[in-house]
Amino acid sequence: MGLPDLLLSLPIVFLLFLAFYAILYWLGGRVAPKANSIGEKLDTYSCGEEMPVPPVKISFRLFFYIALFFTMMHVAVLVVATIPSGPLAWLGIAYLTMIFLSVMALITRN
Amino acid sequence: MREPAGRSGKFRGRSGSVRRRAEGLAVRVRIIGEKTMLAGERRGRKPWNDHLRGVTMDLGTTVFYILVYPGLLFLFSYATFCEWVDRKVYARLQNRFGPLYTGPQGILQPLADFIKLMSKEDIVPREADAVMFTALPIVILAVVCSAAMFLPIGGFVTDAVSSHSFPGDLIVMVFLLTIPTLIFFLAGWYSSSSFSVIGGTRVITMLFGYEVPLLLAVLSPAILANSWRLADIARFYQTQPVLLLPNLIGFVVALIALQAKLERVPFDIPHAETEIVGGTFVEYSGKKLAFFRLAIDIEMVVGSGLIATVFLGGFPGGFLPGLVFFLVKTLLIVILLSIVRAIFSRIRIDQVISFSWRYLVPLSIVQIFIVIFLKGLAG
Repeated sequence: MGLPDLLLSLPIVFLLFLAFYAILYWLGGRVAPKANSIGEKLDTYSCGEEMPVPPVKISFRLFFYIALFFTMMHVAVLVVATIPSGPLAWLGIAYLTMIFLSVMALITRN
Repeated sequence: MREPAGRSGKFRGRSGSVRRRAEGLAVRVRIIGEKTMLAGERRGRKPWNDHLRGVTMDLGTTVFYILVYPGLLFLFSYATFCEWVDRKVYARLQNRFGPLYTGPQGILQPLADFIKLMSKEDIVPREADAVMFTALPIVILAVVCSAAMFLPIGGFVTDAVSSHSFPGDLIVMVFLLTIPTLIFFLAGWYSSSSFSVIGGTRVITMLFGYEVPLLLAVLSPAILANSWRLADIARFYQTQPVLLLPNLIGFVVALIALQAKLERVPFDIPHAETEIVGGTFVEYSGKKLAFFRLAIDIEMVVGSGLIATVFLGGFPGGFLPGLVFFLVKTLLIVILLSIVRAIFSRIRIDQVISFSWRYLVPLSIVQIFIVIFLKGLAG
């Protein structure tokens, strides 16, 4: 692996872009005026009212449905997509039918 | 010599001696170079100058790839151009003119917006996590740009960059395009404002809706082409363009999913201005907002590039024809997305989820059925 290949590999190219945009950000800071934080400039936006940041609650019941569905589809896709062409592909159709039925079960339950 | 010669006698004498010394040095360097070359040739090896030139040329090409095409410069200019096209089409469909004043037909307006935002003062809200708040806009740009390096644009799949294209880069691409969504969520979360937190949770909720159909739709041409490598998929459909037709359903599903991924109308729920003022980006302003907007534009380019690669047969024919194909096909997709943006209105978050579960996912499963059926027939 030569230097050019190494430079184009994903982690290195990501770091290069990261460095570039960090420099661009810094340069933007040189051009922009200094932030002067008078008044309520640093307050979080809340439509002009004094509003404390509320604690966040996420409903996990619905989340589990979605997450289950998500996981199922990903596994299914990985299995189906690696099926070689030929007679074995018919097995894929049986597998997909099962997936289809289970997705339908999830949907109708909701 | 910054001092113009001849202004004073004292300097004229000194510059003359410096020049003599430099000439002497140059002669000596030339002699050393020739001696080394001779030594190399005598031993029957390639002259090291040639070897060095090869390495620097490879390195030059790599730097060109990263900095110019399809790297930073191309992405920046083409993303701003796409934003202009998008705004123009959107405006014309609403019987407006859109950007007009900056540059011919307002083509420089997105650039002007970027520069304007960059020159604003930099504000971090008191409640927000300063480090994450500042880092996220930079990371998201780096992510979308690295995703763009996977696009098999003409001339890019050569020996010099073969390490960047590997079997399975389709999956890597799809998952790299998921990271911006997670970054939107984190941006909303670390802003610690009620509006942005609601926006962030909406981002994640929507991700569960469209991610599955997108992955399924993008994989079906890959299954037919029997490869998960973007360049191979594109090459397969270039040799057999007829096989693009069975993937039509997948193409439509992928377009809708891309629209949702880019959070554009009718899927702009995470930053619905009329409900949660700006969603994830409420607290963002100045440079950070400029970075986010640019990242979304580049994501649009990369996403449409991915769909063009997989569903429209890629970008054949070397450097220049490949570039032309890339521009034409991605612009087509961008215009389609703009039309969708113009003719629909925002739908609710639960409607997005049920729409993608009830229609998009079954449609993409049907698409995979068709493809596997074809494969079964072929086998």
